[in-house]
Amino acid sequence: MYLSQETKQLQHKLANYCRTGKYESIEGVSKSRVKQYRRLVFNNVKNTLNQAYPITVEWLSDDDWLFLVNAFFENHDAQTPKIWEMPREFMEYVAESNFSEKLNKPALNDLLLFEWVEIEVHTMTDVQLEPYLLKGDYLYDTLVLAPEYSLQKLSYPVHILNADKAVEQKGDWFIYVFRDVDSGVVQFLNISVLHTFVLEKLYEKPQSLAELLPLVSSIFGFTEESQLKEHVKNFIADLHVKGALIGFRK
Amino acid sequence: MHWLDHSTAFFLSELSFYDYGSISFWGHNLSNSLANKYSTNICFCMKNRVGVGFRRDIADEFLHNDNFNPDFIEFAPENWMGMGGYWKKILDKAAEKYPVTCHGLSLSIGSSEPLDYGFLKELKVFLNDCNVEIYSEHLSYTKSKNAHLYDLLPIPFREDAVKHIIQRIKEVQDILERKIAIENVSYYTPVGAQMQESDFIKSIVEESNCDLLLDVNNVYVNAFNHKYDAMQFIDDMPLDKVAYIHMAGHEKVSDDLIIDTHGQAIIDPVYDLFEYTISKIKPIPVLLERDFNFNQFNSIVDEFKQLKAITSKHWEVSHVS
Ligand SMILES: [Fe+2]
Repeated sequence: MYLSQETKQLQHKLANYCRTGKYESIEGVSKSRVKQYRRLVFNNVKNTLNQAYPITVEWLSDDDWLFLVNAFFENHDAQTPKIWEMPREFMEYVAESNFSEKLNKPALNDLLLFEWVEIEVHTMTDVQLEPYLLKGDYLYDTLVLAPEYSLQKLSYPVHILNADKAVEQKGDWFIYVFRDVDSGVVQFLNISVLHTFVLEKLYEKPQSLAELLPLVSSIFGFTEESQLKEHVKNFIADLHVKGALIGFRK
Repeated sequence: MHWLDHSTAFFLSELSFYDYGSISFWGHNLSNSLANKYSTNICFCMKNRVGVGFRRDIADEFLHNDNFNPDFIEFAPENWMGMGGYWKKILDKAAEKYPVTCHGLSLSIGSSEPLDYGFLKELKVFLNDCNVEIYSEHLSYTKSKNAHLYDLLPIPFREDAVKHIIQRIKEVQDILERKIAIENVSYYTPVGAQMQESDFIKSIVEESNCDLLLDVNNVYVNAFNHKYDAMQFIDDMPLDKVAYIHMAGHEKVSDDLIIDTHGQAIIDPVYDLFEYTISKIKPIPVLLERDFNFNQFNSIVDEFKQLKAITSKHWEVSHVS
């Protein structure tokens, strides 16, 4: 290591000032000019987070949002070299730091997750699929689902309601987020726990509904199998219309 | 359902001050850079090549505007590596149409912590997969105490930093198995400087066997902000090592301070400095950087044409083979 302790310290001090906004004298630095660095660096981080979390920004007061951004930038050592992935670290940091409690915003973590998941699914690496048929049988053919997806459980329905209203409906909420294979557009579906289970299993091991239904039936304790079959078939047909079911394999 | 209406496309449309994002693929086969270890990877054949920074906001112009024909495009690998979906398709289309160079953001060559080997590994695959001919980075640091700051901070102009960076550039070149180009950056205050900026840059470039990406606007901005002679600075550069040029606009925010914004049109004195520079060097690729204010796209096309006219004047006349 050729870098002297002194030079290292100079670099750390400047970086620290950019992160905290608290200036401690740095050798050979113009105090008035150095403010440009804090402004540019902080705005860059803030703008990136604003663009990633527009709903959260609109929902929180300016002070609360600024508090979160400052706390994150000051205390969290961002690890990703890709700035567009940095908002995920922000979401994780806010959840780990319990800021939803501190700010008395119970739906904060869910709202950040909901917004991040859209970016995540929109940008996730393309999954290459084996050939499949566009037409087939919902019950007896192996179902092929949109490969870029995420299944999430929320405590508050921030995907349906304003985050303040969502707090009144605490419960188990499930969302299925998938990327349209042609347009790349991300879609959200509000689904039940049973639907979530079906999707999880279909993603885990591509199979037909006929193969999967006995397990669903035993887990969820259905006595009326034909009813279950009809219900899940309708769900799958709906997924087909919405572009989540993209095809079949014989 | 307005809660679902916000668009990821918007989020990714402008990622940062320096457009933290962009990269791509040559649509045609070029020589494999792996075979050219330690030789320059630049193989732009035409003498007079002017490229334009590929940004998401103006991606359509690159793909569909028949009046706009840059010779190549440049983007930041960090903004595209590992990304699929809509933007991957756009990038693939752009890369099919244009040759590509990459201008990195997060290497942080001046940092004290070790290089990010995981990142370099991913970068190497990406650059090779995409047949990227020039990979350049900034002579700055963006990481401190193991935290990314996502912007370019000025390195102290000191002998120990010179040695440190030479060793790091060599290590990066070894890992990537390609020569890289290092860019002179704009800075608003020196930090504990013990030597001239020009000596700092020159020593690093000459001793690390890398190329120099000479950002002419940055020279102008620094000369103004730190009150030195821009032409003299150009003369002091190792001009035989300049493999690539950047041109951009800036914003004068006070009587004694210019900020390098990449958001305004290039001003005449910067064009003059550019002419002065290219009159002294062999033909190399020139890139117009613009990260903001795209609404008057025609003016960007005009800037591109102006750069093209200047390079034609100097290089096609004086370097006829
Ligand atoms: Fe540049």
